[in-house]
Amino acid sequence: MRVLLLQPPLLPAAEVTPPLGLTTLASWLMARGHEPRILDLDLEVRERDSASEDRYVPLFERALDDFAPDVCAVTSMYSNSLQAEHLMRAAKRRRPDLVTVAGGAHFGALGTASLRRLPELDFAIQGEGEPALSGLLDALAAGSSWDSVPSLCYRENGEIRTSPAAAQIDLATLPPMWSTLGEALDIERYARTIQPGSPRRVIYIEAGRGCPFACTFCATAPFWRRQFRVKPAEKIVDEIRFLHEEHGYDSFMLVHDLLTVSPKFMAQFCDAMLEAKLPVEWMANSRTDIRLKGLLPKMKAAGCWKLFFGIESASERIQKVVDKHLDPKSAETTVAELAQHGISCTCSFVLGQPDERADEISESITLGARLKMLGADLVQFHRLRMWPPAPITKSPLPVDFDLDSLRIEYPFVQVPEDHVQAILADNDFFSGYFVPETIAGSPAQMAQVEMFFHHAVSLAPYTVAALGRLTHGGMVSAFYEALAEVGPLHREQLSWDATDDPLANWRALRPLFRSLIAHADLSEEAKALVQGIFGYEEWRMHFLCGMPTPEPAAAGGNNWSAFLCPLDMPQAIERLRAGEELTDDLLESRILILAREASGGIASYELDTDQLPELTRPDSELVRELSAVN
Amino acid sequence: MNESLAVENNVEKSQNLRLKTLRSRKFQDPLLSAQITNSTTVIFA
Repeated sequence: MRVLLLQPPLLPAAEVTPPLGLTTLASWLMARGHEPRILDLDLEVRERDSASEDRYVPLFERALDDFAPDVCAVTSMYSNSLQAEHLMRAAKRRRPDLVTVAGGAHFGALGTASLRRLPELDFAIQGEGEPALSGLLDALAAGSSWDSVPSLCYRENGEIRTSPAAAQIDLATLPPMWSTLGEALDIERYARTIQPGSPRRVIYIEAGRGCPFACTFCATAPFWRRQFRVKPAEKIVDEIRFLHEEHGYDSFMLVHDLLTVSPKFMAQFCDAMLEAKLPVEWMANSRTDIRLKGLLPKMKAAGCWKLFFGIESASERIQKVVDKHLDPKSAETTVAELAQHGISCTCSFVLGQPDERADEISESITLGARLKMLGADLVQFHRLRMWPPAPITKSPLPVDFDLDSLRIEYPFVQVPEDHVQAILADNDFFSGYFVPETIAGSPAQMAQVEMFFHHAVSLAPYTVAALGRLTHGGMVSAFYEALAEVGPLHREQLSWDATDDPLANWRALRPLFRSLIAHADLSEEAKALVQGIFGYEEWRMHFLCGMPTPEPAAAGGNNWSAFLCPLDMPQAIERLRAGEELTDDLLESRILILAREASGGIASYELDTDQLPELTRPDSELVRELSAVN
Repeated sequence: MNESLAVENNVEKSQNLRLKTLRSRKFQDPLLSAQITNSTTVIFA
C-alpha cells in the first residue's frame, strides 16, 4: 500500500532533523512490501523560510495529489496535536476515500478520545506503532478485517472499539535504517538545514525504548510500558557509520528514555564505537544516581560528549512527590565527575508541581546555576505539563492555560486566536497544552519564571547562584516584584536557538535582572556583591561576543578589555563552585582583564586597582604585554 | 657588550618579569573555556 507518513510542523527552530518515529516506521513498512513516503511539514515550512501557520495545509494537499497514497498516517507530539488535527480534516476534504490513521505520543495515548473527537480520523494506534500499522496496511491491502490487528482503535457499527495491545517488538528485529529508505526520505534536505559555521552536525538516531522508572510527570515511560529495550550495539554503530560517511553527520543524539540504566550495554556500545574509530560524538540520557564512574573514561574515548539528566527539583520533598527520588546532592557530584572526564551534560528541571512553593523553585534554580558552574553545558527549566499517559494525568487537577508558556513550545511563535479558542474548548483532548495550577505563582508569573531563568542561568549563572544562595529561597518572590516593576518578557524577545546571538537574549533579560537584584531581600553588602558579580558576567558576555559593554570598560585594546570589579571575583567564583558562603570580605576591588589569545582562547588576569593608570597608557609595558598575549 | 644591546637586554628582562607577573595573576573562570571548547569537541580527529 502507498502510505504517506506525516509529520506536522513541530518547532520554530532553524535546523531540522528527520522525524525518528516515522523514519523507523518507513523502514519497517518497506521491509514488509509497502510503499511509504515521509512528508515532514516541519522541514517543508522551515526550508521555505516561511514558518507561518497557514502554509502547511496547502503543502500537504499538494503532496496528497502528487503521491496519491492509499493511507495517510499522522504522528504528533503534544505540542503539535492541533496541527495534526487540521491535517486529518484537510485529508478527508481533499480525498474522502483516503484512509486516515493517527499515532505517536499524543494520539497513541488518546486513541479512543481521538476517534470520538475527529470524525475524519479512521484509525488510531495506541502505543508502539510498527506492528499495528503494518498489520492494518496488510488487512486493508487484502480487503480483510482489521479486528485482529493489535493496538488499534476503530469504529464498528457506530461504536469505538479497541483491540488488545501488541506485544512490544524485539528491537533487534527492526530492519536496517537510513540506508534502506530510498525515496521515502531525502536525508540530504535535512543536512542542508544545518547552519553555516554550526559547531556540530547533529542528528537523532534511536538507540532503544523504555525507562523502568515511574516519575509522575513522565509520559514516555508508561507509553513504552516501562520496559527497557535496546537495539544491538553493532546496529547503532552501523547507523552512525552510514550517516557520517554518506551525509557528514558528526554528532548523534542516541534517543532512548534512559540508555545508561544498563552499564553492561553502555560498555558494549562503547567497545563497538572504539572499534569503529569514527570521528564522531554522541550523547545519551542518564540519571545522576546511575553510577558510571568506572565507565566514564571509556565513554569519553568512545565519543560521548554529553549526557542528559532530568534533575527536576532541588527539593527532597518534591523528589518524593514526583516519585523520582534523586538525591539533589548526587547531581552536583555527578556533574563535577563528568566534567573531570571531559564530558558535559544538559540538566533539566520541571517546575510548577501543584503544591510546589516559590522557595522550592528558587532552590531548584539555584541548583541549576551551580550545575552550570560545575560543567553543565545547558540547564533547562520546563513547566510541568499534563501529558497523558503520565501518572499525574490520571487524577483530575485544576489546570491553567497561558499563552506565553504555550508559545515556548508551539510550532509557531505566533499562535492564531482560533487555535487558542480550539485548545480552550477541549482541555481534556488538548491537555498537553495546559499546565496544572501551582501555589508557586500565577500562570503568567510561572511563564515568566520559565522564560527568564532558562536564559538567565545560561548567561549569568554566577549571578543566579549568588542571588539564590544569599536570598535563602526568596529569589522567585523577588523576581515577581521585579516583574511588577519592569513588566513581563515577551516570547518574541527570546531565542531558544543555539545558533542565534546570545546577546539578544541578554538585552531582553537585563532590565528584569537589574530589578530582581534591586528587589532581592539582601543587606547592602550582599547586594553590592551580587551587583558586582552581575557586572562581571555582563562584561564577560560582551567580551566573548566581541561587543562593547553597556557600561564602558575601564580600559581596553584590540584583543583585551579591563573591568574594574568591586569584589574579589576570582575568590567569589571559587566559593560559588565549592558551595561556600559569600561574605562581605569579598568586597575588595580588583581589575579583571580578559585577553583574546592568538589561538582563539581567552586568558584571564586579575590586577590590583593601582595598576589601572598603567592600563590606560597605550605605551605602557603592561598594555604591550596584553596586546601580545598568545 | 655594546650599550644598545645591553639596553635591549634589560628591556627584555623587564618584559619577561612583567609577563611573569601577568601570568602569575591569572585567574580561572571555567565558563570562559567552557563556552569556547564546547564548540570544538570532536574526538578521533
